[in-house]
Amino acid sequence: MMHNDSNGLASDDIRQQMADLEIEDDQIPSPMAFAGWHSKPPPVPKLKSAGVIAIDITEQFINAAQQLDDGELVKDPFFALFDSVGALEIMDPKMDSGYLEPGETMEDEYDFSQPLLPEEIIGIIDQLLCHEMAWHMGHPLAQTLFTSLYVDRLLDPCPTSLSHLYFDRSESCEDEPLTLQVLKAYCLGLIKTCCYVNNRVKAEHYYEEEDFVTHTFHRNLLENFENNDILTLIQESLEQISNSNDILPEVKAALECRLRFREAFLTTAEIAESRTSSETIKTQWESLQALLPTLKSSTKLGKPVPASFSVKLQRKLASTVPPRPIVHISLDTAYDHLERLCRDGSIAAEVLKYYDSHSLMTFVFLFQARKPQPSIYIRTLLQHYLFGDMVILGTMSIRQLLDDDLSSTVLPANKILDRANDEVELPSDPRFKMANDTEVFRSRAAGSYLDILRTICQNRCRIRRTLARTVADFEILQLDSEELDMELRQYTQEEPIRDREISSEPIYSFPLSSWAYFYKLRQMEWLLQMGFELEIYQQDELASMFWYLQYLAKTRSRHLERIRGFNVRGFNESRRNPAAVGERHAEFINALAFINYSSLEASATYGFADALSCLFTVLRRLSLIHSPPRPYSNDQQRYEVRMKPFRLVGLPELVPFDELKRQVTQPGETTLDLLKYAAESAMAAKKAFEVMSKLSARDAFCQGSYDSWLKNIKDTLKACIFTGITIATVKKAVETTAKNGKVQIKVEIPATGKGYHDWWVVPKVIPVL
Amino acid sequence: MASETNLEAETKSPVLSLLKESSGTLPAELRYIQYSHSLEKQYLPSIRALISKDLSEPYSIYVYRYFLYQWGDLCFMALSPTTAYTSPKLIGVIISKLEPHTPPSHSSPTTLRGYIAMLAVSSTYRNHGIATTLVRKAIDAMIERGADEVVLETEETNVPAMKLYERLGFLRSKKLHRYYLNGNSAFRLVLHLKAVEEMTGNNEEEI
Ligand SMILES: CC(C)(COP(=O)(O)OP(=O)(O)OC[C@H]1O[C@@H](n2cnc3c(N)ncnc32)[C@H](O)[C@@H]1OP(=O)(O)O)[C@@H](O)C(=O)NCCC(=O)NCCS
Repeated sequence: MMHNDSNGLASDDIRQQMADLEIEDDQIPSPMAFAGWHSKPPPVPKLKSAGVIAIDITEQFINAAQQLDDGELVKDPFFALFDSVGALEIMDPKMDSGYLEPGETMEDEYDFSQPLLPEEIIGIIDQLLCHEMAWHMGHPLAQTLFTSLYVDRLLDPCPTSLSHLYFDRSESCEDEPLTLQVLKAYCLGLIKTCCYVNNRVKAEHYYEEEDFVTHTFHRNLLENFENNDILTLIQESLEQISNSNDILPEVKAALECRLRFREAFLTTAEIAESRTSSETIKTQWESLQALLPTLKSSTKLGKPVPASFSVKLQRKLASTVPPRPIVHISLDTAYDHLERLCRDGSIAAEVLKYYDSHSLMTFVFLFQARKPQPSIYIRTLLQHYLFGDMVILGTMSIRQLLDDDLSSTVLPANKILDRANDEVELPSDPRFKMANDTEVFRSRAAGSYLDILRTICQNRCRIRRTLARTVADFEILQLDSEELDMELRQYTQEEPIRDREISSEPIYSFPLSSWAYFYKLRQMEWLLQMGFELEIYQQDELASMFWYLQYLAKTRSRHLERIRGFNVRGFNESRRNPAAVGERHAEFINALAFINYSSLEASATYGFADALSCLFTVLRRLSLIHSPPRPYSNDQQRYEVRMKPFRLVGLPELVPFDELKRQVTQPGETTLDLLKYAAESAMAAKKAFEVMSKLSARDAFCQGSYDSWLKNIKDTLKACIFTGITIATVKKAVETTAKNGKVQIKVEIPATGKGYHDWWVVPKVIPVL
Repeated sequence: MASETNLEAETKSPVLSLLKESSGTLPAELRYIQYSHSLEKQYLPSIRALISKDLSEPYSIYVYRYFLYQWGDLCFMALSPTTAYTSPKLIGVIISKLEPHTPPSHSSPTTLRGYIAMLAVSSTYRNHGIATTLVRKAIDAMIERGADEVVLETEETNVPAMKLYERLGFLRSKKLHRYYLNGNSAFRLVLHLKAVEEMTGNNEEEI
């Protein structure tokens, strides 16, 4: 089913054009005229805009239309799918937001002067909270907060001062009742909070409509008002409530707690933007969260005022968009979302404490893998912490981060990264040239490296899709860096390794392209693994996909061996020079620790993936996993669909289909041999995961997110142990196959979220009798 | 192929015998016809009714016409038979298009890409292979016209649709977050009809 993207962009465009035309307001036929329209067409609006001359084409149009046969269609060659989707059927109530039923009015006739009970204020405020959270979840303002007549009243017309802003615009407004003052203060705080949220999301990388709708329908969310002025209004209302004698104490408390909550939320939204102290931000989110229980428990005191929300307001907001229903979420859902927001917001701020580049990436990865995934506001805050104003975590330069990463993988204590090179001014000096080349590299690689982080800040579907692009980018980066590597080694006078056992050619380290290759492999693995999580693969593809995963992890492992070789050599050389201990040694040790960790992780991954690949191959042999007939495609063509993201990757080369098929199906092996091999691989992987689970945060490069990291390893370990059990069960079933040659088991493949780990699809085997 | 010469190519349903066996109340004979503009008056209202009942996305008349006007020959309808007293009733429909597609990044070649926009079978007639037949007819017509690949999207929760397409050879290529207005995510499904080197764009590059 195609999607029908008729809200948003297209219509916005048109609205802008309409606005540019400066149609004189008083000339616009009132909507009432349409409702009761019978014979006389509305007057032509007077247009005045530079270069636009309006002419009446009614007659020509009718003439032209008469040339057509009944039912004949004319299509403008430029009328594209996009236009058809944005087009509305005028006078169809489902699409035409200006359509009025006979007797219906365009505007709501809501009496803003009517007094409201304190209980009703609670009811409205709680409903507004539902709308606010529904907006956070991705629904447009027009179907949520902007359906509130009170909110609308404050924003239209755009207020110029807060002191003369009243719901009731009649003369007697000076003595505004307390209830309305409270509601007003709350609403202003609410709108300003939304302003922060909206600006934050807009400033970062997100997907409009998919993640969030930032459209404010040309309403200003109190952008120009100071937080303090609004907070003062809230304070004043709080005082007045406490002084008031004619509100029941519990109702009073409920109102106070709502104002306090709004005060805290607004303050949080402001403070969450600063990147100076993660502690302040955490405390702020925590104190906001602490208010929620009281808020929740007093909800029952509220009395809803449904008449103060209207679906009709959309007509004022966007005339070119079909009317959409008000989004209703339950208060429980809203509180859940809010609670998560507080929790996630508080954790997100922890990213500001920097340990090392790898721990940073681990943090972002695991934070984004939280379930449910943190909401868009938090995800964009995280991006802001990471890269805001091109300053990493508010304190570091991009260069610092990149150099940290390079020195902890391929260039520990290497003169290429020596800051002193920058000071050399003599162009013929090799250090000058080194500084130059590394700067070329940095300017090229920084964007790609930060893109990895930015990619993992996106929604789960987008992470996978974007990885396909970042992999392609790293492919090019790797090639570009090879040239720089060759140039650089003239200046560093690198001595190649000569090892006849490996190659007759001298072997150079190629540090920069090695680094790019390492990250390319990582991203290729993640891309495959996200495919498991998102349930992209069909059951009969799982054997091949796990085979590919082990292939990539093995390739990474070999690549890490190569890097380790050069690092060890550098370390040994450095140790021979007693003058260079201390910091240099620490850098070597740190890089070697990272290589060790990544190697361990790679070997655990390939062992586990290999085991699962063999297991799925066996299940296919036993006809426990079926392939549909697929009359329109063949294996080769489907392989091309599946491997499309890797098609243009030069290294590692895409395994040709026939080769892959042979490797996966292993026709030369007996089923029992395959199972034996699978059991051994699973066992080896299990040991590796166990070793990992005992590492310190420092050795596992997960400082700042140790608990999530450990949970992740333990979940993987559980999946691995369960795989071992499954393999044993299948083996037993094969050994005791019934006389008719059928194994007495059936297979279930758990849906995502139902197994131990979403990246490890482990089949469940059930005996059938 | 008949459908190219005959605007209203009629085909006997391959599922007739099955239909008879599986349910006595189902019509003895189904007809599949290719759409053409002359049928708009007769069938467009029922096409709209059928689709708006079963698909969550609301489409305006312009969307239907956009497809039907340009690719009516890729649209097929399943009709219950006419009797002396009743006019044929629309029980299933497929609407698609076929156009050159250039990936935005130019990372892959331009292809002649078929796209299945809408598919629906009236609920009382489901599980008798009607949708499968409609999809096959659309794909066959696309193959006739040299299509390289066929793509479509379906709601992640729509198991019957996914099974149907996957049975024919489609693979899920990506998941689209909150793709539909109702907030549901979708899968993009892709069917390659040719090897990548043989696709349109690659041939053009050689010339
Ligand atoms: C999805 C939809 C179009 C399927 O229509 P359908 O006519 O029931 O589909 P089919 O009959 O071809 O296939 C469905 C089942 O019938 C079975 N079937 C296929 N051919 C058959 C035949 N000749 N006889 C009996 N059963 C048959 C299929 O095996 C399949 O069963 P399974 O999926 O349980 O294994 C229909 O459910 C529908 O209209 N849904 C709402 C709209 C929608 O979701 N559209 C798709 C959006 S892109």
